[in-house]
Amino acid sequence: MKLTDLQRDALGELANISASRAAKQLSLLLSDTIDITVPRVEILPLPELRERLTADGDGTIASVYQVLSGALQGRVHLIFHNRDSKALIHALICEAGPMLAEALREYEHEAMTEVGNIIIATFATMLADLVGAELKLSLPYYTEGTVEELLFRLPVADEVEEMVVVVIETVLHAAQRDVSGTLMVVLKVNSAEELLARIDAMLQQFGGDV
Amino acid sequence: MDEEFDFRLICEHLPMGLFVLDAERRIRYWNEWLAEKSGISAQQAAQQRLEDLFPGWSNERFQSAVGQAIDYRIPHVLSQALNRLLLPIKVPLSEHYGVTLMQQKVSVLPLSGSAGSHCALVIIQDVTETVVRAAAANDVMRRFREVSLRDPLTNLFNRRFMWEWLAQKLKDATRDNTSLACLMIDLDRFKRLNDSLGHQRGDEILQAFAVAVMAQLRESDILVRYGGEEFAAFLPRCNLQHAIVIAQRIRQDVRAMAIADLEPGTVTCSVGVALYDPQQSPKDAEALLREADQRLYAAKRGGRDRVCPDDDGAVTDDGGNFHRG
Repeated sequence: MKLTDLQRDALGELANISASRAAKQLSLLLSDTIDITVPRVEILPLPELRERLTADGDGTIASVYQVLSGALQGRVHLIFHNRDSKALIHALICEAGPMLAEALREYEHEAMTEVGNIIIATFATMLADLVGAELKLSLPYYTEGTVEELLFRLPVADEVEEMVVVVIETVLHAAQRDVSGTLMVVLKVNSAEELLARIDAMLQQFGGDV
Repeated sequence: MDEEFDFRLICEHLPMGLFVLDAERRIRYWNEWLAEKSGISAQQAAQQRLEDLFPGWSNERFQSAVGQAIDYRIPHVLSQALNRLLLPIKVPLSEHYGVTLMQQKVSVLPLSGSAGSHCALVIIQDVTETVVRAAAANDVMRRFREVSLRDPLTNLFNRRFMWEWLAQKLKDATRDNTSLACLMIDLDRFKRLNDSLGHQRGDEILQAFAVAVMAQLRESDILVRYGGEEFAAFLPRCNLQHAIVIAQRIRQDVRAMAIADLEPGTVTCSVGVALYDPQQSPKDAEALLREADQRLYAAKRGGRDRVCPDDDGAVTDDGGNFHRG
């Protein structure tokens, strides 16, 4: 399954719109100017992600995900790319001075869960509008682990080989630093086909050549 | 499972707050726990909006989460870390660590009414205790850190603090293009005093000396016990001339004082002054201290009870053999 240029542009545009909505909410919540941009969108089979994702030095990545059911089936992950994201959250929440490592970690996870929740939910509302049917999302879960654990061995029953991923590179600019993350919509093949069909329909409606 | 339970009763007994908002944001359910904690009964809450119950209340983040739960069936969490709390509920006993309101972790979930209406279920978990416990632990750590950064005899900062502080201040100075002065101050012939008067009197001299030096510094300056009888003062946003004036004041003050009840003039000190100036050749913290230390040596060689550079800014040093002290 491949994206045509038009589909890629349309998805990128939609992702950018939802990113700016999420940024507005985050700015409000964090009392900071937050800006989110989406430089790249692509679609690939889930197993190919193994080679794409780079983990931190200790071999782990951090992710917030929500399980997607209803009109589209799969899950939406926000993968935080690097330790910077922790540093960012740290800077935003830790005006109280030094904190014990344990308490700080709990704070970080909570805050990252909510930040992930806002970005994922905003994107999901856009997907729901696009598909024109009800999507169901689970509560957000925060996970840390290896790429393998996070994407391929989740308790959610997935047939890895039958899943595709819409990978949406996301860069969050805040508090004088940039944090990059990837929003990944992992979908069952038929859900991905459904999504692309809706995008084609939308493009046709707006007079694009599909 | 074929048994039918009274789920409303179960909700009443849950040790957390539960309430339901309809599409008009009116309260359709308010459990016992919430009634008890907020002092607002289910009857009083029914059909009200939150802003009616809590005058002045507004929360855009929550409203948008409720909007997404009702319109899109998308759940949200509102963390304590980023939101502190949703509803202003006073906590009785503990006003510790500035926590006077219940700290809350909130989930907003989509819920369908019996007539198919779309509502939002709001779940409030009281995390005040966790927050207070974390604050207490942080406080202990802060105090521990404070202790670990100070010299127990004089209560001045120690070298460990100095390196941390200096790294930051030199960065600030470079960014703001301001200079920072370092005064290396050493008690003259302290070993002789300590040996003749005893260690306890020696300690008293060090303590009184620290107080005397502190009196000449501004609030933004710091004084560090650098070694046995060696001290280092750092003066941000200070030029060389002014630093020499301060150094002279310290020297004259110490000479004129009856430090630890000793005859004035018994205790004297020498001071070496160096400057970190971002305009001049780039210097790091080590180089700054080295230069101040070299000038302190020069002051000692020049006869003690003096400041180097002198009032004219001249560094005079005969460079001869010399025993520091």
